[in-house]
Amino acid sequence: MAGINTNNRVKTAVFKFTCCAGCQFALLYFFDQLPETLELLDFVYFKMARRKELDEPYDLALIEGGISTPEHIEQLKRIRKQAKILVAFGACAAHGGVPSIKDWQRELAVEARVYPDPLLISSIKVSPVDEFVKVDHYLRGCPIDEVEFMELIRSIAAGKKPYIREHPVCVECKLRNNICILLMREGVQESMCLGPVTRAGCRAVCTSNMRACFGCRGPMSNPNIPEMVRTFKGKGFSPKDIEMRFTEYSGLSNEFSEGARAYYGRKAPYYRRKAA
Amino acid sequence: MAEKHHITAGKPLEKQIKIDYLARTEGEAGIYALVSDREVKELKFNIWEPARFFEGFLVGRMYYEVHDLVSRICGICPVSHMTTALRALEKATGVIVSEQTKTLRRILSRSQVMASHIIHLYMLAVPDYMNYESILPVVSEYPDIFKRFLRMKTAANNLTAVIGGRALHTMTAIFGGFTRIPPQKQLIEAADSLKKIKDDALETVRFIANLPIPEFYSENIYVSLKGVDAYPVNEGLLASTSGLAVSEDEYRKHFAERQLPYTNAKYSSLEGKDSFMVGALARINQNFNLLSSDAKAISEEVGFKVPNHNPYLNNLAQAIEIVDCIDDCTSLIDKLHLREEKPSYIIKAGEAGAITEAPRGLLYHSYRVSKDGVIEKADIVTPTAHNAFNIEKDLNLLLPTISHMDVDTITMRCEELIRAYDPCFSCSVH
Repeated sequence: MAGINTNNRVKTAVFKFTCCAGCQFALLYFFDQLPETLELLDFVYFKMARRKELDEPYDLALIEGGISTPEHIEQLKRIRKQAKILVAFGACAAHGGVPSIKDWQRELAVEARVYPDPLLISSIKVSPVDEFVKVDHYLRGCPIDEVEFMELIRSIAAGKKPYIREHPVCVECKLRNNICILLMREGVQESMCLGPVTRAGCRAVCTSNMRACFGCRGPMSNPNIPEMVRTFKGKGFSPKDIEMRFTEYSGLSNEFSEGARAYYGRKAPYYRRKAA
Repeated sequence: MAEKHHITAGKPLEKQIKIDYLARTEGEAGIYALVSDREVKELKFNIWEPARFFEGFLVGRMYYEVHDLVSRICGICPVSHMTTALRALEKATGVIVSEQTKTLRRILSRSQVMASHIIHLYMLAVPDYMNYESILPVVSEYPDIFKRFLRMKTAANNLTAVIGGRALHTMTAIFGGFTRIPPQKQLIEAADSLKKIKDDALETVRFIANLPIPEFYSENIYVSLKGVDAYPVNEGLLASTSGLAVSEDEYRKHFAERQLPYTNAKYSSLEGKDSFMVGALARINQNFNLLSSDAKAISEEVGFKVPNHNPYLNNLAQAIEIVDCIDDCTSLIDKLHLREEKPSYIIKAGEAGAITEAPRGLLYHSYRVSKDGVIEKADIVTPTAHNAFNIEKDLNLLLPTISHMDVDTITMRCEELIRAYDPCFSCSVH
């Protein structure tokens, strides 16, 4: 990886945008599980863990959260200039995450349901980080997965390309000898599994707990979305159900937004993300 | 942190306290205060965490996905949001869950309270009192303390994962019950590892009690659920030390929210005027007699008495709660005889609210559901949104008593006070 001195620990800054802070909280969680990986990082800025202000340069920026205010865009661009490596850290940074559900509805209507005076709130549509800057690596998932985190950090420290999977969750699910939830249970919400089109790397943690994959890691490479939609429809799910499933965590990805629109017959009128 | 003294002719010495981004809390907030001799000239507690509009975008979504979505309000207390939403929705649609489901949800919630308290105490709150800016130096300089912390955290996380599927953002709890019942053997093993950290938990209470925690008296109104025969977790009477004692359905008759121009969190008030405190201290102040005998004994040993009116001691209350959580979970698991069951229900229209005790205090969720299971209205008030007004009140009370100190010390005292509340700013602007 360009420019990082592998003899030293990687100077790392953690930045939070619009999200639940669960992914940076995961770093605190990993403390006992992955000490040797965390030791590779020198956190020069990590507000949830230390008081220290940012006063020295850093190599690695972990970006948590979606972009949802005008100030975010400026800050993100400044970070991009400074960081040698920029990682979209978690589902919100990678795809907008749960807060981006707002993008499928009329902006002011959503805001007015929450605040008596929405004009006092500085807020724009929620966007993933790569809407505005180049992203070097994606660490997907809600929350991030510790094994994938380990792979990424060790690779960055060693200056090599991390092995981030592009195949579907189904592969990992089969490797764990799970019975297919999608085939097993008919018409129950709990069988509405997005595993066939969702990118692996989570070790199929939901399906291994008898829970359908809800696509928090976003689309795999080259997914067959129309077939996924046909399967759901064949199992008796309504267009509404299908739209909901595709827009829960990664609806802003081009692939999942196509799935959300497919059988609903409705164009998402307030959705203005540019096509890839 | 900027240090500025304004000295102008005829004016007393003014000190400016400015924290742009409060560290070691969840989310983003700051304070600005201008104090002169024993007088607060200006004070703003600014939660600038970007608004996320959950109550707005949940409208139009389906009943079966709400608990997963709202669990993403918070990375530290997802289980609380999940169980509260599930209970509100089940109540709204007339779905009754089994006793086993209720017990499993109670253990799951308490495992999360434990993990949250342990991490808050050791990683976020304690470094201040040991004169460190983070926990990192503690790792090498006090390895015994750090190892104790890891043992406790691992045991608590393990219990969450056994029931919930993983420690962060659990997924087995669904509308009507669970997708899978945890294997009894694993649950018993998890209870055994809890029993092994009991001494660590008692030691934690002593450790926190011996820290140089400031003396500060602030007689707050404390609001929490009140248990009848068990320490309140997922249900109970909505009660306050000012005399409120009503069912959770009457929440909106007594609690109001208002929007302020300088903060993204709405401020809650009781009966339209008073600020109040929620959280571990509020719970213990109202439910001390329902703590386990060991939790009561250790409270007595360290000299903690209720009612306690030092908000900094919310941290000690959390430590005492960890002991109670361990006793509660282990005795519940010992009595448990799990059997397989699958949720089954019919959805109908309705509206209802539910209140639970999240790690940081009172959590309210309310929903209106159409006959097709579509959410028509969502109303959520989180513990930190409940506390925000009271934090500002306490700062107003604290600042005049410490205004003679130097700016760095004043700043530190303010930070410690806010951190003692264990705020979650992400939650507060859900």
